[in-house]
Amino acid sequence: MSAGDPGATAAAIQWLFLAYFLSVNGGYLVLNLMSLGGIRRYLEARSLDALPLPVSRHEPPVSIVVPASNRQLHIGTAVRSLLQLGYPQLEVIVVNDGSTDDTLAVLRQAFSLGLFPEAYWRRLPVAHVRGIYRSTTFLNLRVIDKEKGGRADALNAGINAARYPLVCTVDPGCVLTKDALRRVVQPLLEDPDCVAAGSTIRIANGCTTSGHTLTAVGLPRSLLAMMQIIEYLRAFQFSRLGWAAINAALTVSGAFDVYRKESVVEAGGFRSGTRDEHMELVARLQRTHRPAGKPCRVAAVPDPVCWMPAPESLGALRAQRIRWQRGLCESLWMNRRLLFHRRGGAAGWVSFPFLLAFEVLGPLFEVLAYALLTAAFALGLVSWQAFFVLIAVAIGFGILLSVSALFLEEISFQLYRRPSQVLRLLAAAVIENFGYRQLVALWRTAGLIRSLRRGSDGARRSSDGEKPG
Amino acid sequence: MGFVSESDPLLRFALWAGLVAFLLACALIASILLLRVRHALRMRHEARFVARWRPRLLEAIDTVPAQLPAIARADWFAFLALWSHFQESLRGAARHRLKAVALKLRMDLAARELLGRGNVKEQLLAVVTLGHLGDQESWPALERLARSRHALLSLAAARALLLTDPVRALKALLQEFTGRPDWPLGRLDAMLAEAGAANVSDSLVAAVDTATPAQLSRLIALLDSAHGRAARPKIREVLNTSQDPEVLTACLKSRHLPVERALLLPYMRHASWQVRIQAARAMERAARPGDEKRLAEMLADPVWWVRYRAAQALAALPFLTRDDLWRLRFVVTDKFAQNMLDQVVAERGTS
Repeated sequence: MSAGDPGATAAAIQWLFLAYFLSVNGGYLVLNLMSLGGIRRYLEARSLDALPLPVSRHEPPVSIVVPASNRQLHIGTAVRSLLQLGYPQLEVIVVNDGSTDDTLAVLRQAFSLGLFPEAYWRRLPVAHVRGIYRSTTFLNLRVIDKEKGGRADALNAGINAARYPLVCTVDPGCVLTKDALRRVVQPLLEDPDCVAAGSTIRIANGCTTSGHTLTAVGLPRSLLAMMQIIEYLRAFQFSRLGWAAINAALTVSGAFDVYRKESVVEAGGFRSGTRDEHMELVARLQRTHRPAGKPCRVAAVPDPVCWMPAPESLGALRAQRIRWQRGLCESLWMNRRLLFHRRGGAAGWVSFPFLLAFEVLGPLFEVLAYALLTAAFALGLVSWQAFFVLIAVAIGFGILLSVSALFLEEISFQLYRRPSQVLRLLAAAVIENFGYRQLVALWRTAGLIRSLRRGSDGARRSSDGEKPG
Repeated sequence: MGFVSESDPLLRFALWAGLVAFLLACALIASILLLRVRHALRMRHEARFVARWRPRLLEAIDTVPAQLPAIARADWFAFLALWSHFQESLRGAARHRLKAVALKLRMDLAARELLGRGNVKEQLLAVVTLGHLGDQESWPALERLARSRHALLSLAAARALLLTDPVRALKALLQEFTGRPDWPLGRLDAMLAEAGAANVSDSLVAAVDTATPAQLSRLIALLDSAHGRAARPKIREVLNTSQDPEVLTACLKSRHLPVERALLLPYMRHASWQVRIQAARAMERAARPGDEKRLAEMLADPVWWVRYRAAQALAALPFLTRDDLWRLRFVVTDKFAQNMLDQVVAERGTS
C-alpha cells in the first residue's frame, strides 16, 4: 500500500471501523458471559433469603455516611428513610458540607438536633468542622457541620466520626429498598478479604416512591430516561458484575456502597480533587493492596437496591457524561501504576487495560471511526454497500449488547413485570443505537479531551452528587 | 466510485458478522419473551400449589392429617420451601408434627435426591430440610458439603449437622468452626445457641486445650455459647497463660469473663491497644472505689478508642456520681481526656 493511495486508505478505514466495533463488542459479550455466571451463582446462593433463618440475622453494625450540600428540600426524607432501613444496628452520620441553604436548619428541626461535644478523631485530614450535632429523638443520628471541602472531604469527615467497622456511603438523592443495607453488606460479612461492595443502580424515573423508599417499579415516559435504563442495565449487569466475578473491579456505584473502614483509612481516605472519588478509591485500594500481597476483593451486589433519578434533558445528561468520563480518566491516571503491574492480578492485567482501551479511548475511536467512514463515503472512497453494511454491523452489535443486558435482567430479577414494560424496554434497546449511543460517545470524547487538557469546566462534582434531572 | 464491491473479503466478513449479531439478538429477544411466558406460568402454578398446601400445613401444626395427597416431583421444591418456612417460624411440638408430615410424604427421600443434584439452590433447600428432619442417613453427604468451599452451602450444612446431632457435629467440624474465615462468628454463635448450650459446652471447652494459637481467639469467642460454669475457668486459665493479644482480647470480650479486678488490672497497661480497650470495658463491672484513677489514666491513652472505652467505663461505674465525673473532668489535665469525658457525659445525658 503506498501512501496517498485512496483505495488502501479506504480499506484501512473500513478495517479499522470493523476491528474496533468487533473488539469492543466482543469484549463486552465476554463480560456479559462472566456476569451471567456471577448472577447465576448469586441467585442460587440467595435462594433461601425468604426463609426466616435464625442464622441470617447477625449482620455487623454499619455507619452510614451521607454527604450533603445544599439539600434542604430532600435531606429530611432521605435521612428518615435511612433511619428506617431494615438492619439490626446502624448509625447515620450526615455531613453538612458548607451548605449555603437551610440544610442544617432543616435537619435541626426535623430531628431535634442538639450540639454534641464529640471528641472528634481527625484520622483523615478534613476541612474545619464547625460543630457536631446529635439527635435527641434518634440517638443513632449525628450531623457534622463543616466548611466546604467537596464530596470526598465530606465523606472523610463522616468516616472520622464513624463508630462501626463498616462504612456505607450514600448519595442523599438515591431511593433505597428496605433491605438495601442488608443486601450490600453480605459480601463483606461472608468474605474477610472483601474490602468494598458496590450496589447495582437502577433508574428511579417512572417508579413510585414513598419518601426515599421505593414502593413500585415503573418505567418513565421520557425516551431519554428509557434509554438510560438500558444503558444502566449494560453498565451494571455487564461491567460491574462481570469484573467482580473475576475480582477485577476497579469501581463501585458511588451512590450506595459499603467499605471496610480500616481499609479506607489505611489507604488515606477519599481523595479530594477527583470527579469520581469512589472509583479513585477503589482503584487505589487495588493498586496498594495487590502489589503488597494483601488480599483485596471488591464485590458487586446484583440486587437492585438503589434507584437514582436520571437526567431527562440533553444538557444535564451531557454534563453528567462529561463529568463521568473525566472521573474515569482521572482515576485511572492516578492509579496508572496498577497497569500491567506484575502483582496487579486481574485488575492490573485485564480490567485496567480493558477500561483504558474501551472506556477511556473507546469513545474517541468510535467518533473517529464514524467520522472517517462518513467522510470516506462522502468522498466516494467507500461504496454505499460497504458504508451501510459497516454501519449496520456497528448498530447490530450495539443492539445485541443491549438485548443481552435485558436478557440478564429477565433471568435474574424481572423487575419490570408487565408485558408492555418488556416490550417498551425491547424497543428502547433497539432505538438507543440510532443516535443516542453515538451522542454519548461524542460527549465522552469531549470529557476525554478536557481530561487531557486538564482544564476546569465547572462540571466538578459538588458534595451533593449534583445528580441532574 | 467505491473501491469495495460485494466480493470484497472485508465486506463479506462484515456481512457475516452483522448477520450473526442480528440472529443472536433475535434469539435473545425470543428467549426473553419465552422466559417471561414460562415464568408467568410457573408463578401461577406455584401460587395454586401454595394455596392448596398452606392450609394443610397450618392444620398440621395441631394434628398430623391422616391422609395427605402425594407431592409430584415437579412440586418438591415448592413444597419444601413452604415447609421450611413453617419450620423456621415455629418452635416446639409444632415442629415435630410438621416433621411427621414431611416424613409421611417421603420428603426425606426427595430432599436426599435434591441434595445429590448440582444445583446450589436445590442443594441449599435440601440441606435445610434434612437438618430439620435430623436425617442421619445424609450425614456423610452433609459433612462433605460442610467442608466444601462454598461459604453459604457449607455453613448451611454445618447448621443441619448441628440440628441433627450437635455433639457429633461439633466434634467433626471443630477445625472448620475455628479456622474458616468465611464462616462469620455471629452466625456460628446463632447456630450454637440454636443447638443449645448443654449440647455444645463440653466439646467447646475441651477443644480449648488442644487448639492452636491461631484457632484460640475464635474458639474463645464461640465459648459465649457454652454454659458459664464450664467456660469461666477456661477463660481465666487462658487469660493467665496466653501472651497473644488476639487471644487476650477475645478473653476480655467474653461473656464469661470472670468479674475479678485483680485478673483485669495488668491488661489496663498492656502494649496492645485492643487489649486495653477490652480491659477498660471489663473494668466497668469489676472496678472498686479507687479504680477510677486507673481508668482516668487511660483517658490520656494515645488511642482514641481506649480513651472512649475508659470514659464509658468511668461513666458507668455505679459508685461514681455525675458530680464526681464533673470533678474528674477538671482534675484531668489532658485536653483529649477532657474532650472524651465531655462526649461520654453528653452521651449518657441523652441516652
